[in-house]
Amino acid sequence: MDAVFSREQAAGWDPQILGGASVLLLGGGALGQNAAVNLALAQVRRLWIVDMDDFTASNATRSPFFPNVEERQRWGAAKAVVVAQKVRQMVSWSDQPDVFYSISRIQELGDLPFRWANVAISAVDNDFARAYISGMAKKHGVPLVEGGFDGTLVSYGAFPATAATACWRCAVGEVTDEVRFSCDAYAAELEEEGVTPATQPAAAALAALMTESAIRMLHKQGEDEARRVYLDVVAAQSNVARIGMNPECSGRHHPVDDSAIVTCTAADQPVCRLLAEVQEKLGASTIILDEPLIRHAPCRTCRRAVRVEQPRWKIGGTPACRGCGGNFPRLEGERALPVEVLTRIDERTELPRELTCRQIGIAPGSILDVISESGASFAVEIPGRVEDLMVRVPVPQQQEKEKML
Amino acid sequence: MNVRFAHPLSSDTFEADVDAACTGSLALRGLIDAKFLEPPSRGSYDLVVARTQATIAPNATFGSVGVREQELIQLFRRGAGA
Repeated sequence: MDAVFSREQAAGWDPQILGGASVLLLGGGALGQNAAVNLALAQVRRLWIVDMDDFTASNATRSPFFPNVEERQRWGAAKAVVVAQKVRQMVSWSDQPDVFYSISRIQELGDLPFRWANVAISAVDNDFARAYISGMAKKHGVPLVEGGFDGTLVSYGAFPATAATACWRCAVGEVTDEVRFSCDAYAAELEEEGVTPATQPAAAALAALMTESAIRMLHKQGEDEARRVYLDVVAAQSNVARIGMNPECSGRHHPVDDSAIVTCTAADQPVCRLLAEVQEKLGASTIILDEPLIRHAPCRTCRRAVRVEQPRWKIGGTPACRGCGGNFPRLEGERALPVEVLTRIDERTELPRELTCRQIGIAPGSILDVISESGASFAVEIPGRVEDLMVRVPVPQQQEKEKML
Repeated sequence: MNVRFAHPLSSDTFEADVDAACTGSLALRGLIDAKFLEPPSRGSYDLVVARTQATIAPNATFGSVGVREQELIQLFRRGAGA
């Protein structure tokens, strides 16, 4: 038995499985950082951390990787960078994991992270992102562990990759949270309401449970049914619930058909070119968008119609026109219109000729579901390399010398 | 059918007569309106049938999940913070 992993092996972990695993960690906040600690010590092969936020003072007491002044000067305040750098330093005695980071919303990266991962851990703080992650995990057959806390009440869901098992949406229903709050705004809001955000022990307890669940999934255990675990950290009480397939669920439950992939237009090329190429290769067809595209919406202040033409996740709330201090142009000669949302596009969809695939949320490496006029399904791949989306944290030479594995 | 709802934070229960066609979201709305539950500031509540451990999704009916007369329905907070 390997000396370093002797305890873990006795507990049923296989170092070879962990040593070959790619783990996608979505969120670098309290929950994500505590999960990163566990994953690095578990010696997974690769760890990719995705977060778009910066560290702020309110994070400090729940952030094992909160940067000091020197670290902030060296790396900045972006959580993805700092957490990646510091978790790599934490395991300086080993060349695992290989740590990568992206300062980004997960939606911006498209399919490639999920095509790369063996398991995904969701430590995000809004349900729109959770819904997106759930769909992507099912799309690419990736087991998903998702968690959240409300003070000292924590819960996580484990969603196997097995087709026709429940997804996150099966138990949640439609996502209606319209505005994503930043950590600071969330903390301020909760303090006003007299509710205490999570403590470090709660975050650590939840991260431990989630990491253990993810490791079990890597060992192909617990794959028959989705479940959710609830834990009251103060009362030390836990409960487990089964999540069955919900026939009314609008989420995705089956993986994309890899065998039907056709390489097409690049992400930074116009959407109209993609549509023309799809039509040329597959006939009249409709592209299903992974995330809804907001074409028009009323300004949140003056209610006049504004042109948006961006995916919902990019907007982060109700848009404002330029006359009201926002970024979106008004539609000339128009009164307030209802929100116009597209979930699919085809050759007849009117979009500006210069609008690129990336701008409407089709990232490099995306695999798009396409339905032909005859009803046949295809998968169309946009060229892209995962290496272009992630930054690798180098292992410093000093760490090489300190390496004991 | 008559069911009991168990509060997520205390030992309190709430008895209610619900129709088999009642959905999870309607039940939660009723419990909040009856002031048995506080409106969630973030996240939501999950309903779980204690006997079977099956969740009742917001758009699922009590009947579809197999809820019976005198069933105990547990309520849990599903947090949104991270």
